[in-house]
Amino acid sequence: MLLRLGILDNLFFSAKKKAESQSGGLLKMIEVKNLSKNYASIRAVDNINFTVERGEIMGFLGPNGAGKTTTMRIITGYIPPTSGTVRVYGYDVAENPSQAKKCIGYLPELPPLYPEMKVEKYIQYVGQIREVSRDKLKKSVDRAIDICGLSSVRGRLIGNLSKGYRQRVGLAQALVHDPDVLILDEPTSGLDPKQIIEIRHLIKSLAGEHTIILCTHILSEVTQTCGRVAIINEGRIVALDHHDNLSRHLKGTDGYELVIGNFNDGVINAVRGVEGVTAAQKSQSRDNTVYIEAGKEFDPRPGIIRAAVNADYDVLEFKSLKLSLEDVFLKLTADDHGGAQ
Amino acid sequence: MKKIWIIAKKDFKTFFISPIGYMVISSFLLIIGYMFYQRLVFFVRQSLISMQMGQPMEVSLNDAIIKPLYGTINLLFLFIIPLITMRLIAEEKKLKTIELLLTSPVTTAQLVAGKFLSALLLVATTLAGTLLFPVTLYIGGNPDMGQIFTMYLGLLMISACYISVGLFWSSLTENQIIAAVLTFVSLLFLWIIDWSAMNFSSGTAAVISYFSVIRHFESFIMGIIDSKDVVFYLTFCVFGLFLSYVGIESKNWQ
Ligand SMILES: Nc1ncnc2c1ncn2[C@@H]1O[C@H](COP(=O)(O)OP(=O)(O)O)[C@@H](O)[C@H]1O
Ligand SMILES: [Mg+2]
Repeated sequence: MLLRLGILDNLFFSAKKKAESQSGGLLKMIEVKNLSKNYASIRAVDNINFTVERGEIMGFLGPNGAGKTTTMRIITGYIPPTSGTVRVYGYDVAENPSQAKKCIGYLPELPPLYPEMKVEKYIQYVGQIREVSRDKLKKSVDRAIDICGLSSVRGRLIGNLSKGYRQRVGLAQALVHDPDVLILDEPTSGLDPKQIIEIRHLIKSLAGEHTIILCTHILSEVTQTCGRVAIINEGRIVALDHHDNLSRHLKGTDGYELVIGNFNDGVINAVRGVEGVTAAQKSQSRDNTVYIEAGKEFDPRPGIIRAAVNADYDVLEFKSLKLSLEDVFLKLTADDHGGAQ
Repeated sequence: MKKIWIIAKKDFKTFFISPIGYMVISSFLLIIGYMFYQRLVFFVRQSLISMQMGQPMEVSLNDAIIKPLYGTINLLFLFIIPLITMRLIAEEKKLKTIELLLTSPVTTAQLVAGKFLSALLLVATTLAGTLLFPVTLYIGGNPDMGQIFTMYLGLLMISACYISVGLFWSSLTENQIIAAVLTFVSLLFLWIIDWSAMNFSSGTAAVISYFSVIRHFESFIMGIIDSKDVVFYLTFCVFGLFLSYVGIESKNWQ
């Protein structure tokens, strides 16, 4: 497990914050420590720890009922945890809720919209309760409308908008006060493929300036949008790393495919001799292709190409086969299930 | 303080967007206007008769028109205030906008205060529509304006109590109908609690009738501002608001 436990002493926080912002270094925007939440008999969140650094898009991936929404509600201060602490920008959400809340923009699973309000009025209202000052309000509203592509519907009633537009209004609402931290709970659920792509682009464009947590049960969303990913299942984080590493680490070995123009069995023997290669065989699924497996400790790629070329084979294609995140996800959540029972 | 006002203002406006808002207020004004007209016509006829018979009028303008009219307003409020308060929190829960409010830098206390204020403003606006009656009477006769003033004050205070009850029920459910019905039943109970007092010994009866909200309205109708009644209404109201606060916070106990 690749959990990072961010330990940040409150006393030193401001000094550290200053030092880090000067060096452009990594500031922990969100710190979740030993977080648990029980509902009556259900343990929805079970001792979760993670930190999110400035400018990062962190994925929060898990099947339905895993505890994603519950975790986000605790981070945003909507519900209190049973135990554990959350710090946002160094402010403890339990002890200093209004300071912490000021730093957060939150798009809940169901966008919190008033159907009888007009788009612009609604965003303005949220801006006001989010303490955008009077002289900046108009600018902030325009900016949020602009970023979310809502200019054409700004005067329309929210109740009459399509689902895609409503989701954008939800996002604009979360952005109006230009928060440091953005928390998005299943922002693409219920949208059509075109809308999904648009929203994902929008989210990606927000990274850097904002620190983002993106909850989803859709794998491709994470690989396309996020850097690090926490995989959560039954209230526990079962893995946490960059999504590239997640697939690699879990597999233990890497696979490669080598496509040869003048293919014959000789190439298999040539490749087998390369340092680091543990197995080589004719691919079952593709013609003229060798399937190669190698250990992780030594990168065999330069050797493989050289061996094939030296033996006068025409290398047409060479690529590494990554275990998809989907495989990792299924593997992890299945393992966890087995362990729990 | 600023956020209380922002929430109150938004809710006040929203009320006038919904058809229920207009329906409630216009039916109220229609009914009460009709009653005023009836009483006025009756009074004028009575005074004409007594003039013909050469007798002085026995009843004053206030006794014949104002008192019964404002008693009726109080009764009508029993019906319309549950309709005004039912959506206050219940709708936010239904739309999940409560999550937006409580994850913004808005405290539960500010939310309660804002919601309460919006409903009170609405009731005050509705009451302002009835100012036409004393003005009419003032033009045509000489009503006791002091008494009219205390009645308005009493009505505002009693409405504040009704609103605090409605806000409480609205904070417990996301179903507006349930909130309205429970509010109405609670208010009715507080009205009729006085009747049951006669079945008890005088000590108990005194306690029970102390909790009757209309009993405290009587002095306002007489044109008296009694600090005892003012304290009762304010305490009642604060207690109702406190319960509403607890109602909203109760989501945290799951
Ligand atoms: N208000 C609640 N009361 C009781 N149980 C709840 C409540 N909210 C969520 N749960 C339970 O907690 C678990 C986690 O839910 P949730 O956080 O919504 O998961 P996710 O967002 O990952 O789908 C589920 O088993 C769900 O049934
Ligand atoms: Mg969820």
